[in-house]
Amino acid sequence: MSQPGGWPPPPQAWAPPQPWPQAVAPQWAPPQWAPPVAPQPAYEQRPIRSHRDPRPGGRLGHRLGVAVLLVVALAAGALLSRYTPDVDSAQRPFIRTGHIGQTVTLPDFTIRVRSVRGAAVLSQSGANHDTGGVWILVTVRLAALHEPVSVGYMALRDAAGHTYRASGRVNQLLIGWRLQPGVPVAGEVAFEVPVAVAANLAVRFARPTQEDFLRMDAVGEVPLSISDSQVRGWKADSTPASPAAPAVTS
Amino acid sequence: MASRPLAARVAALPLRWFGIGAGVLALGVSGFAGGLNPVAAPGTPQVQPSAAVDAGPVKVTVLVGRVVSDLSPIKPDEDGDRWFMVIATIEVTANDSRVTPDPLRVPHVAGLLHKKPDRVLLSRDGTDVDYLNPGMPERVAYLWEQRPDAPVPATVEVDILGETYRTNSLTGGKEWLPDDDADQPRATVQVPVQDKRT
Repeated sequence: MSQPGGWPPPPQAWAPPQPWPQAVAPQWAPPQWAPPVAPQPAYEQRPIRSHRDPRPGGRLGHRLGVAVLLVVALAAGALLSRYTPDVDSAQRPFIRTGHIGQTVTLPDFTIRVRSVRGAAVLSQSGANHDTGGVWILVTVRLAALHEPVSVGYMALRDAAGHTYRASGRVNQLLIGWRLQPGVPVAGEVAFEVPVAVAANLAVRFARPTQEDFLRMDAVGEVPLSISDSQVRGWKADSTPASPAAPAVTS
Repeated sequence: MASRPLAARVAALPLRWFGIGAGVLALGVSGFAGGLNPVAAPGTPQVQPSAAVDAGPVKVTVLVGRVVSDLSPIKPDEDGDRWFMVIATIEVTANDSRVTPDPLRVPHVAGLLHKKPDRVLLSRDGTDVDYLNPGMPERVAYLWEQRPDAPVPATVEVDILGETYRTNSLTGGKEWLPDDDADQPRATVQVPVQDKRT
């Protein structure tokens, strides 16, 4: 069958629109609440009665375990602190030793102890100074290496570790003397020590970064060869000794 | 009903009970060790003149007080002032020379310019004390400048302050530092005062 105008016939599936059937017209209704339905887990679910170990003693064991761990931690800390060097040990001075006549080189200056003598009385500027011990006079040559330096610490140290600073009872011009590089200066430094320790001494020189402390400072140490008979002789001799003033030397 | 094991019952006790028990135990031990005994109020011990007092790095023996009007060539700051002096024997017991130990105070003396001594002199030759050496006791004069109109006491109470070898919280190193209660003297000694005014 052909259509007028030469149009092809409509496909078979096509049909003219029909009115909406009344029977299937949507009817509005208020939503009805329904309780949520729990998803069904893939495993068995049982109520948890306690998080603790139900075995008798489990709670006590836990507490004991914590206590033991605490004790172990404290013991480890105590052990560490016991064998860790304290500040005084960790920051002890760096000692460089020599002997009389030998040049001891420190980072900033050099030391050469030339000689040592002693006396019962010291004389300076017309005044005599006696002592309850004995005077020790150390002749030393100091030389700056790179820049002007002052050697502010001079002391004697005995075998028991006691230190005796250079005496302040007389003028000690070498202490704090501004040393210029290439211009060595030699002079005598006076110390007071008990007679009993005078035969076992070493002299120390340093340029301390902190007053009265030598923490991590370079220290030059030279043992003094003094005999007991020398000490007795010095103590018995009442002739005053005058410390030699600093002078430029070679 | 079967009774629970002892460990389980102990473990079930509240933690507070453990704390209370530990506290009671500590108190009991402390009581047995004398920790609950009455303690006398802290006070400064009085020592006899010429008795040595351990002040930490030094041992101090106060000998006598003295008032002098002239110590030439040492001059007071103010013309006309005089010197109040305490003479003591100082022995360094520390390992190293001590910088001018000045452990003495005379808080009840009137007319002093300063609390600390103005000068510390060596009796041996009158030189200023820069250092005192270990194992070498020295007779030392502590000088305070005093107004001329202040009364001269018959006796003087001398407080001896102490130092403790302990860790410096700044450096971590150990050194001699004033006692925790720096104003609390280690001891007090009463000595006669000699009037040596000219």
